Amino acid sequence: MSSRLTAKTLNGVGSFVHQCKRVTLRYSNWGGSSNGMRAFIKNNLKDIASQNPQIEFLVEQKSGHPLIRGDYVNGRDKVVCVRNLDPNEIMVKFNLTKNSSGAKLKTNNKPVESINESVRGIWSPFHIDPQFRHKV
Amino acid sequence: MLRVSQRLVSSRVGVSSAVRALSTSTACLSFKHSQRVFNTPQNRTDFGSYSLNYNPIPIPESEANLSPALHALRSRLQLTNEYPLSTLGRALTGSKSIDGEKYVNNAGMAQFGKNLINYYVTEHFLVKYPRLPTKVLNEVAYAHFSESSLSSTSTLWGIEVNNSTIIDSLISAESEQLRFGKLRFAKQFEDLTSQADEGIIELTTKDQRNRALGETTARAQAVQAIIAGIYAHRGRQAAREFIINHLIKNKKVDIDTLLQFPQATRELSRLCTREGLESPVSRLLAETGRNSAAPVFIVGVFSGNNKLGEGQGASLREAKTRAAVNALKGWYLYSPLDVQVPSITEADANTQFKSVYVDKGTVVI
Amino acid sequence: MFNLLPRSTARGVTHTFIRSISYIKTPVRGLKKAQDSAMITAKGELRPWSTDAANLSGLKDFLGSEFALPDSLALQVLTHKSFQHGFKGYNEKLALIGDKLLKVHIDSYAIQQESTNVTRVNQINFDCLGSPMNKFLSNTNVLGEFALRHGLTDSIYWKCRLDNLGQSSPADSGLYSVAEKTMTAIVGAISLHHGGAKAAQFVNQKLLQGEDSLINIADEKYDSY
Repeated sequence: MSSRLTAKTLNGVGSFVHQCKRVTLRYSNWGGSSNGMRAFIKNNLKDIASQNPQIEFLVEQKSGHPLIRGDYVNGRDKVVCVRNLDPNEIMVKFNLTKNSSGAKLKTNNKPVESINESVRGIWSPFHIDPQFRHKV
Repeated sequence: MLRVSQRLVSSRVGVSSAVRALSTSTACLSFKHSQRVFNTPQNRTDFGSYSLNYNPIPIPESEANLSPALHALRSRLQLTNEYPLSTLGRALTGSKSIDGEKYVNNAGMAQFGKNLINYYVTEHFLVKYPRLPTKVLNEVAYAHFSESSLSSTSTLWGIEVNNSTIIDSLISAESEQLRFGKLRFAKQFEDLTSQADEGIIELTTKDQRNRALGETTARAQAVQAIIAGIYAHRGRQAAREFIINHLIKNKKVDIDTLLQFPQATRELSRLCTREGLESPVSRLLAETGRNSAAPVFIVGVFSGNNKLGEGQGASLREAKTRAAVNALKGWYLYSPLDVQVPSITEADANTQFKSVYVDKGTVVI
Repeated sequence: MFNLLPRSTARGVTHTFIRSISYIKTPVRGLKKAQDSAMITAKGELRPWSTDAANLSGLKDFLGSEFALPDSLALQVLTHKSFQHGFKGYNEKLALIGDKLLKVHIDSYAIQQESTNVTRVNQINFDCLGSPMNKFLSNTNVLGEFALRHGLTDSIYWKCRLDNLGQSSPADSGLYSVAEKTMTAIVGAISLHHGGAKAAQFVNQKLLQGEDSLINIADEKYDSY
C-alpha cells in the first residue's frame, strides 16, 4: 500500500488554509513582566479573536514570564517571549505568530523554487540547423 | 460411449459451478456482515426507516457551540454558518471511537463523502486526459483520494487527534466539549489492544479490540464526512466546488512518470494498426561518436510522412525504444483544450453541454 | 475430441481411458492474425460488429429518444474488453466512470428518503448507508440481472468464459459481470455525452423506477445471496 503514489498537497493552489491553528497567550497573575500581557488580554483579545475566527485562542495563567505560542498545521510550534512588552509591542509579536507558516526559517537563494518542470525544455545540439552545428 | 462422455462433461460443469457457488457465498458474507449494526425495517428497501441499533444521539448544537476548536476549524475551511458545528463534531467522531457508542459516528457520512470524492476526482482526470490507460487513470485518481492523501489533507486542515485514553479522560474529568474539536477514534496501540499482565482482569472484549482503527483511515474518514456534511447543508454544488478546490486543484502528480511501456515498439505498431495509420518506421535523424565511448543517436519514429516521436540514446536500440515511448506518451497524454466536465450541468439542467471525447480504450498487446 | 475406451476389469469396475488431442500453436514472428469482426453467439451464429440497426436496437429501445447515444458510442458501450482481444473500441473506461457515478446516485437516492431518524442531518438519513441492502443495490448480480431482464445482454459483444462447455448459468459464464460493465458504461456514456444532469435523470427514471428496477430486483434476490 505504502508503495503506491500519493499526490503532493500544495497549500494556496485552488484553496488556502491558514497555517496557524492555535495561539496560546500565557500570563502571570502577579508578575511585573506580565503587565503588558494582562492589559492586552483585557483590552485587545476580544477584538483580535473575532477578527481571526480561523485561530483557536487559549489563555493560560502560569507564573513566570508571559509568552505567545503558535501551533501550526505542520505540527511545529513557535514560542515568543513577551516579557516587559507593552500591548502594542505584543500586537506585533502576535501578528508575527499569526502570519508565520510554522516552517523552520531558511534563506532563499534561488529566485524561483518550483516542483513543475521548465516549460522551455532542454537545449539540444542536434536540433539546430545542420549548417550551424558544431563540427569536429 | 456417448453416454459416458456426456456424463463426464456434465460432471465437469457440476464441479465448476460448485466452486463458483463457494466463491459467491464468501462474497455474500462480505456484504452482509455489517447487518448487526443496523435496525433494519420490515421493508428492507425503505431506506428512510433505517437507523443504528445502539441508538446513538446526535451531538447537541448547544454543546458543540462550546468547542473553540470546532469554531476555528469551520472558519479555517470557510464552511460558513450554514454548516452547524454539531455536524462538524459528528464528522470528527470516528466510526469506532469511544464516543461512537453514545454519539452517532461518521461512518455513513464518510461512505457518502467517499463516493462523491471518488467520482469527481475520476471524472476530472478522465475528461482532462481522455486517452490515459485505465490502470494509470486509476492510479492517478487513487493518488488523490487514497486514505494517505486524504489523511495529509486533514493534517493541513489542522485536525488533531484526541490522544487521551478512556482512563485519562475519566481521571482528568475533562469536559466533553473540548474533545469534540478533535478527531476521536479507537486507536490500535493503547485503547484496545493492550496485553493484560498476569493477575489483571481484562475489561475490553475481543470484539472491542477488533474495532480498532488506524489513524490514517480515521483521518481520511473525517475528511470524507466533512464533505458529506457540505452536501447535506449546502447542497451538491457546494460539495463539488469544495472537492475541486481542496482535493483536486491543490494536489499534484506527475502523470508522465506513471506511464511504463515494457514493449513500446510493439504497442506503437498495434496502435497504428488499430487507428488505421501506416506502420511505424524508425529512422536515424542524427548521430555523433559512433565509434567513441559515448555515442549519441537521435532516432525518429515515422508513420508515412508524419513524425510520431523522437528519442535519443547511447545505442540505436535505446534511441529507437525511446522514440516509440515518446510517440506513445504523445498519444496517451493527449489533453483536449476547453473541455467541460459533465458535472458542470448538475447545478442547472439547462446548461448547454458540449459532449466530451470518448477514447477507444488502451491498446492491448 | 475424446477417444474413450471402456474396459472391464476382473472386479467389474469400469475404467475409462481418455486421450485428448490438442493443437499447440506456437506464435510465429511477424504473422498477423486476421481481425474478423464478428461475435459467435451462444446459438453458434455469427453476429458482425457494426453499427447496424439490428445490433443496436436493444440498447436504443431501452434508452428511448431522450437519452439516445450516437451509433459509434452505443456500439462502444456494448463492446466488452474481452471481445476481439480489445482491438475494437471497448467500454472499460465508460464503465469505470459510470460505476462511480451510479454509486453516488444510488446512495443519494437512499439518503434522501423521508426519515424520522433522530440522527439525520438536515433531513438526510446517512445511517442507511453501509447497510447490506444499500450495498446490494450496486452488486454485480443485481446489475447483471437488470440488464438481462431489460433485454440488453443479447446485444453485448464479449467472449464467454465457458463457451466451450455449452450452457452455463449467467454467473458462471461471466455474463453478469460483463452485463454489469455494460450497465455502468451506459451511465458513463450518457454522462459524458449529455452531461451530469441528464445522467442523474437517467438513473432515477430508468434504473430506480418501474417494475424491474434495481430496487425491486435487489429486494427479490436479496435472500438468495
